[in-house]
Amino acid sequence: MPHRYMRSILNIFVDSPMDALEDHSKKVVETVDRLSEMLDQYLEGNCSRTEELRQIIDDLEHDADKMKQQFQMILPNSVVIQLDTNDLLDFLKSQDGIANIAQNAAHWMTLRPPEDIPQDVKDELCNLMKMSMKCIHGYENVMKDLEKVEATSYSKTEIQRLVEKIPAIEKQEYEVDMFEIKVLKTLFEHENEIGGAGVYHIVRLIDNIGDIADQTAHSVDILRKILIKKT
Amino acid sequence: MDILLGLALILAGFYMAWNIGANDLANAMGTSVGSKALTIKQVIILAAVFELAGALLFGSNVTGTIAKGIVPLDKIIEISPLIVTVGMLAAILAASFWITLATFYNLPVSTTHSIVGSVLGFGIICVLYGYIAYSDIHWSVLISIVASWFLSPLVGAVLAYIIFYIVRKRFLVKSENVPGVEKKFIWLQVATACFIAFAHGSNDVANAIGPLYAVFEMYGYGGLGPLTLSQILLLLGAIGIVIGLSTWGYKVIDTVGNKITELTPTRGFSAQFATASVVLAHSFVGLPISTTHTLVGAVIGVGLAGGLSGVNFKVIKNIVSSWFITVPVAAVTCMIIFFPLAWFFL
Repeated sequence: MPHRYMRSILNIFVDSPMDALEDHSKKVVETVDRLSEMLDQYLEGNCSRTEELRQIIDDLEHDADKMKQQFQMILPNSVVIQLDTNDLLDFLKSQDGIANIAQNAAHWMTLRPPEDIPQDVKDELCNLMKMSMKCIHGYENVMKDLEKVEATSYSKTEIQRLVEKIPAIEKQEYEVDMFEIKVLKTLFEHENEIGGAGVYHIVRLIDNIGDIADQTAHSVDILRKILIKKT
Repeated sequence: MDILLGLALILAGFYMAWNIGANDLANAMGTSVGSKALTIKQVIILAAVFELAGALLFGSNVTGTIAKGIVPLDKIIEISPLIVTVGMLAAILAASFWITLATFYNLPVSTTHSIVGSVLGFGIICVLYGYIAYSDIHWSVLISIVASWFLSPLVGAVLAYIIFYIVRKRFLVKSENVPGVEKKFIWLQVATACFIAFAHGSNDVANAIGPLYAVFEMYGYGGLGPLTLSQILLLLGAIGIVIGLSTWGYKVIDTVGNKITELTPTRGFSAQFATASVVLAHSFVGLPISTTHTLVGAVIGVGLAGGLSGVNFKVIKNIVSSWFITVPVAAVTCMIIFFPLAWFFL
């Protein structure tokens, strides 16, 4: 019902920035989930589904961008929130970066067919993606816990509980970095079969998939700083 | 008393009461509906019972202040009781007009401030006509009333801050099961919803029936059975408020209840308990204050205590602006309305 012909106290309340951040994170996680699916389809040579998924990823990234802009709108100067606005905007920018990387990966993937990619490289690319996904799903759990932190009005115990989950994500990110080197080594073992252009294509794909984990770790690091300020 | 004037007064008073129920009481009760502890129907029934109880038990002090606390009616009665009747009708019409306009534009205007402003407008008219001297207006009472308008949201904020701080420290932070704590607070919130309706009845019914009481008492109307005149009018005002709540207020309750999802039972309890305590305390000393503005102060208090993820302070600017606008606008409107009424009836 429109808020018409009423004298109400509604204007005092603002939408929760944490809810908005969580909603944005869901969109980001969905984008990466779709990228994982797209990589599988790409490596199996299913071109039409790969193209469909690229379009879906484009749309999801665009939605995430719109949510980012809306978030900035809910925080005019007159609104006083529990957390530092600039910190939240930094976090949002970093979180949005994950979706951007996923989109870049999706675009890059479609530029070259997968026929000449050796099976062992394909397998390792899939494993690398799975490891990055583990990282992003750890991040998804942390974001879900934000609700509990807010429900207790930022109790130290809840913040501590959430912050304690972050090192596991950082460990996963480190493992992704290490595995990236392994995949690259395997790739260069096949450089003669694939050729320079093929190697370059897959190197950038590996970089992008690895960057998803890096950016995720960077985002949780900002989140930790934001929450620790409240303790 | 002219029957036409008496009827006009009762109708205008009833309209004010309707408006108070449709907006102010609805806001106060709406904060209880978000938790889904009560249906809108149950809220209306509870509000009816406690609004009536509050009005009948503690409503007479504030009624007396609005009726006779600001303008020395006794002196004007000596000149002509009809002037008082016309003046009070102009006051209540001016307040109603301003409230209607404010509601149309969603302005955070208080019915209390409107009626105080318009009664003051009548006082100034009497000064201009030479019925009373400028110094006869009870400026000290008016200053106390206006001071209480600044003080009540502040006290509401501090009290709500303290209550929520305790709730947070004692229950939310320590608990392993926050939703369980919130569930337990639902019933406390229901109790405070009753408390807030009671407090509202004790203070805000006077806004609608204060001028009526002044006139009917002047003409020597007595009570009916065990009820005094003041109680009969308070009853009438409370019924008007409940009708307002059930005919339009349910829409406001629905909007407020569905929109303010952040005001969980622990937060709602803190804000409502603080508001009701402040309003009831003012009713005891006979000071008319705005329940809505006190509630806004209390919500801000809960927000500052970490209970809300954010509050919009722009609303404070709007409310403070409305304080500065309402009294002069209501006073001037009352003066404008008085002239044609005086020409017709005097």
